[in-house]
Amino acid sequence: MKKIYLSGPDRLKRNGRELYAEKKELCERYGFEVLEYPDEIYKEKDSFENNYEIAKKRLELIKECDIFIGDTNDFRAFVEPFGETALETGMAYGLEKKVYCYMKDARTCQERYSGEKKYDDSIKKWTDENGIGFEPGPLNLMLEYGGKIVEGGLEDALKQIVKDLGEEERCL
Amino acid sequence: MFIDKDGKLRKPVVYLADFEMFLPTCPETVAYWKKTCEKYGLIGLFPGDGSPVKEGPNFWQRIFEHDVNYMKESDMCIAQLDDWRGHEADSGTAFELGYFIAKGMPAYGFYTGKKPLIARNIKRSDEDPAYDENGYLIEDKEFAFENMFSLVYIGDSFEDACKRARADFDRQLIEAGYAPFEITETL
Repeated sequence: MKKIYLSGPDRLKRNGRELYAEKKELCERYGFEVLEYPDEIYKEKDSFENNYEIAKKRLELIKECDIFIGDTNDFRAFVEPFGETALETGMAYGLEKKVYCYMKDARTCQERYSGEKKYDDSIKKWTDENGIGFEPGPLNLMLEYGGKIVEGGLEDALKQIVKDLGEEERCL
Repeated sequence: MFIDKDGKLRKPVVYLADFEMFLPTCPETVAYWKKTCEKYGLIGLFPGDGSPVKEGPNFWQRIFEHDVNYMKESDMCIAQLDDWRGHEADSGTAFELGYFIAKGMPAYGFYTGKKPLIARNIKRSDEDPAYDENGYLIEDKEFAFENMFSLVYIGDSFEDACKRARADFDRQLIEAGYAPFEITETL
């Protein structure tokens, strides 16, 4: 059974444990095993030392997984995902895992940007209100090309994974 | 100087993971970073160094590959983790930092904003200020970032990150019987 590591900000929700359990069950329905976060991750307050120990355990889980799935919906920022998920996506890519990211709106950053934007004729590009240009795709190009982006939710990502694995097997 | 994986003594190449290329101040900032690297016996490698990637088919894919190749050529990373379009680090920079951590290579960050995380000006929920306006907990864990970032040292400035890297390398040099690197003011 292929092992999945789930990354995303859900753990920070009040019902984080329940959301995680639901996602775990969904992955299992598709025939995957989910590597579970250390339970201490749900503590609201913690020391830096404990925090570091939890992070080390999580890195080991990423090393152990076959497939990494990140929730890259916007988080506390315009067109930017949860920072921890971006960091973990880079880890999974570096460890040569199969990397998938899902987001409910996968239009380009420029199309999705809800702040003020303007067209800068000198550089022939759309920019934000500070004159900063947008990445061409739905996410920063490191995430866009470091894995496969699926528009939709976790279930859409799982369907894509099942399809990709099936094609891989047929090629063997 | 540091001792590389082949046991050779040389200056380490630092991949500069950042969002500066989007900013007009990029040339001055990168020049300062490179000078600061030099002071601490490091060689700064900026993703925009070298010949630019040629326009044409698969342009962005080729930029990605170019940056990954630079990461592979480097010995360590220093990442600029300041807020980018909100209250998160630039995701591309975070991705690159994660790559170095996963490879077990020295990795450092710097953040010039408010610490710890709960001190940031994140819009709070009216019902429970421990959470943000979208219902996500603002973690209270004596740290400027969420959990996984605690795997790296995050300094207050670029120079602070260089100092820490230098101290780590010097410790290894001394243990192996070498003299520590002599820091000279070149700025």
